[in-house]
Amino acid sequence: MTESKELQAKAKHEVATAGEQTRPGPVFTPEVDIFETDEELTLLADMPGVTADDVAIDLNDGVLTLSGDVKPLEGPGETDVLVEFETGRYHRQFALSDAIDQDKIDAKLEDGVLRLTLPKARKAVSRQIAVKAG
Amino acid sequence: MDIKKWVPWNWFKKEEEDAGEMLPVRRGNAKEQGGVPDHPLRLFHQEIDRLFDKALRGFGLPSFGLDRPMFPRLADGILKPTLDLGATDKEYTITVEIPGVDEKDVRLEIVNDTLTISGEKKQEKEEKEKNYYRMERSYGSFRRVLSLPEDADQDKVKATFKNGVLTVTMPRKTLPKSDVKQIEIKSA
Repeated sequence: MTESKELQAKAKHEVATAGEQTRPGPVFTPEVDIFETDEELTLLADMPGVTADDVAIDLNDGVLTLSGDVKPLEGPGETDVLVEFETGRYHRQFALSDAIDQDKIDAKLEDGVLRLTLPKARKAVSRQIAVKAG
Repeated sequence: MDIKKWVPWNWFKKEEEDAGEMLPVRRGNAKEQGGVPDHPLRLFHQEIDRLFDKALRGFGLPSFGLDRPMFPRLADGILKPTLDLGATDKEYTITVEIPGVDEKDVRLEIVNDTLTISGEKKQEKEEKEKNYYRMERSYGSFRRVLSLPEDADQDKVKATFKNGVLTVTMPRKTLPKSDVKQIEIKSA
């Protein structure tokens, strides 16, 4: 709102995933930022509450699937006084183009944010060839 | 009868005062209080909330309706992350989802029975310059204000931050029984 690039805050969307869920519980789409540099695409996904062990990143047929499990935060014998957010699974899919070097995708999880680095394939990187004066 | 037991503690008394904002209906109050019906005044309160909401919309301002975003913004542009509040016999647990915030950027303060959770979700500077395809995540300062109930032990508040979730625990202390004063009625 104040910055031009800043979008309105979005809801923690509950989604119906493509595949049917085998476990009960809500599924949310994580909010993402995707940006590009000359060499790579970076994807940042807000997935609060997930641990690195519970994140699954899967690449199949050019479809990148992000999913993550969140264990309920409530301890035993706890009663809810107020519930503003719910915990559940995260799930989101992206179609990747050939321009991404799919073997070199790198993932990091920090403070509930998943950072995926998607390097561009060699041919997609524009190279500038310096011309030397003879 | 202790009427206080029947009325759910309003954790957002201060926050509401500060923002002039009303919060949506708390879910399942009656059920969680062990089948105790809601206090009649609460319904009155909610009705006022609704009218207030309606008035706001009348002015073309966004409604603070039930389909609240994950990070609603207050009028002054401050983010308001969602929180869950749980209680056991021994302690209160507050959990706030603030992904992407550095531990150092979170501040917890207790002043006059009011707990303020504030901080800033920073956007990395180098990222600002890049070519964006999507921008869905929110950045900026955030704040939540909680009015602490009497039995929360303010000296023993503990906070942990893990995986983008801030957890604040407060032990509950047993309150000294209030003195019962019998007032004598004199016949005139």
